[in-house]
Amino acid sequence: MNAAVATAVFAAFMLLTVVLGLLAVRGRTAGGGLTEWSVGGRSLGTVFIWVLMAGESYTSFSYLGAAGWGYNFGAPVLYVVAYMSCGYAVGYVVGPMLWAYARRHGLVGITDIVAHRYRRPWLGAAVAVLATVCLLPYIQLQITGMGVVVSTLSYGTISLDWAYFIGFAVTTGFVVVSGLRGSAWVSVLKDILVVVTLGFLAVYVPLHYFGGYGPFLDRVVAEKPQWLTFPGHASNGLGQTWFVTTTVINSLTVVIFPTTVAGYLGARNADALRRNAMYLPFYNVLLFVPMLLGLAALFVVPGLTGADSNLALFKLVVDSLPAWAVGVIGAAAALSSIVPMAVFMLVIGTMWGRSVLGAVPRLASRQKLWSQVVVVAAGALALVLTYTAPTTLVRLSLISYEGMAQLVPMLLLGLLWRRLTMYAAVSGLAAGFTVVCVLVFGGHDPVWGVNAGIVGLAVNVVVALAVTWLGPRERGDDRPDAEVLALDDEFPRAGEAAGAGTAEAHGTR
Amino acid sequence: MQTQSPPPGSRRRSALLWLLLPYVLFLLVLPAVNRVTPTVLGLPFLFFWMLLAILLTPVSVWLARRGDLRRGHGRDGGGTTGGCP
Repeated sequence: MNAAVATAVFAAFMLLTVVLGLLAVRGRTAGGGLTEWSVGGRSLGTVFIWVLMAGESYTSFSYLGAAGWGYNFGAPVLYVVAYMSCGYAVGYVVGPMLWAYARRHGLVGITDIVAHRYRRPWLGAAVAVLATVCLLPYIQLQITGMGVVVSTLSYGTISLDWAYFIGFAVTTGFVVVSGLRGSAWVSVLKDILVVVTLGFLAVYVPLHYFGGYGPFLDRVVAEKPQWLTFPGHASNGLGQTWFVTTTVINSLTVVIFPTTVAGYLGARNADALRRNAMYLPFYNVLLFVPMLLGLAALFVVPGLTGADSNLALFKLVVDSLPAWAVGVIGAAAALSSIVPMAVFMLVIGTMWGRSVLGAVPRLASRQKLWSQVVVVAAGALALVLTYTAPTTLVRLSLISYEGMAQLVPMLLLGLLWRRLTMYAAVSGLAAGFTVVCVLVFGGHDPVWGVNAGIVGLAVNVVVALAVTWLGPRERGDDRPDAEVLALDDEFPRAGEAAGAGTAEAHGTR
Repeated sequence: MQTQSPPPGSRRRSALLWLLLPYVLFLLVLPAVNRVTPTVLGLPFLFFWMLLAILLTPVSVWLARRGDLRRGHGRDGGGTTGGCP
């Protein structure tokens, strides 16, 4: 009975998700092309951008991993709110910069930006391949995250394998057709569900189990002080140095992360991004809820280990709430997988459709179609690997973020500093990426308490600078700086708030 | 290759330094706030501090933005003036 109710509620929300995603492009499908699909025609306003970017950053990790880290380690989990907050502040500068650059030159993603900056289409293709390797594991993490949630919340009636498939099917069902705009619409449903359910849980769980916040927190402070400061409980090297270095590198990486950039480029104008840099950090307050509930679970369901600790939050939910509420919370958690997964797939599709397949002259005329094909292929690949070789992508996911961080110099330094040559950017990237792989796969992350990615980034920058100064010069690129660099940040001018149609790219009156 | 002119307004965008405030709040002062007591509103001090830092991040972005707006580069809210003074 419980299972039937929870599953029915959940199924209704999944149906609503697909319908909403498809409705998003009603009346817009004709002739929109790749820009319409990949970056929503660069037409999303402040509210949609907020909803979308909050939606894509609040992944299944937020429900599972945040509670699991809180449960296992305690304080180290705070790195998530720290880097996201700092990242939003950095995004105040970087977001409008990338937006203006992409708009001026008609670009749809980071691979496109790199190809334009260094005037080498093959470099865009190479970065697309590298970024795909880093992103695929995230799709799998969303699929498996959704799987365990759905399976738990259906009281076991939906098997893991089916739950994985549902995640893939629902996501593919709308993103292929409606792209970024559809993801933004679905994000609305997701954000409402997430805010309501987490707000409710934040109040309900302490009341139900401890008689209120006071007694709950008193008990945590009295009995689990080890969890409440760095380096946390048995966290194996996640001390203050790790926290600081991780926050620094992640806050730089998150602003060039392909999915974040998709959100940036979807904005109607640069000011929508500046406003969002101000409003988005508030969403981080919500992340406190799963962290605290993870601590609460220490008292209610002690002794969870390994992957089970990720279910800390949901054990409380199933234990204490009626079936319909379990279904709603399950839908919220599932959408927290679906929205980021949609954007991950969209980004992979865009990178390949534009920079890899689009670079082949014979295929170049159908970029949107190829992107859509790649979306299905990438999602299917992640799904198949989830079934057949789950550990492969898990291992890859270890380098995802720190590997992606190595693109920061090529992209951001490159857009600000003309002298950085292609040779230098590529050498730096290769060196940094190698260092990350060696350290991470060698089991040395953190290394001496320092995030391995920042070690890689340091090597990356040093190599890039050395090759720029000592290596071969860039020849034959006689484009003016304004064409190559991101100099004009398009700060709003009069009339900008009127919305779309601020096509003026350069020039002050 | 033309000589590189400074990016528009770069010399006057000192308000952007406000964007470093979150780094100070989350990272620089960490050794001082990495403690359980005193508890504030029941929260252990480190968690209280992080919550405070989250809430102050929008303020720092707002200060940076205010500085940008004051450069006279734009009139927020769609004023009728013509951009740069």
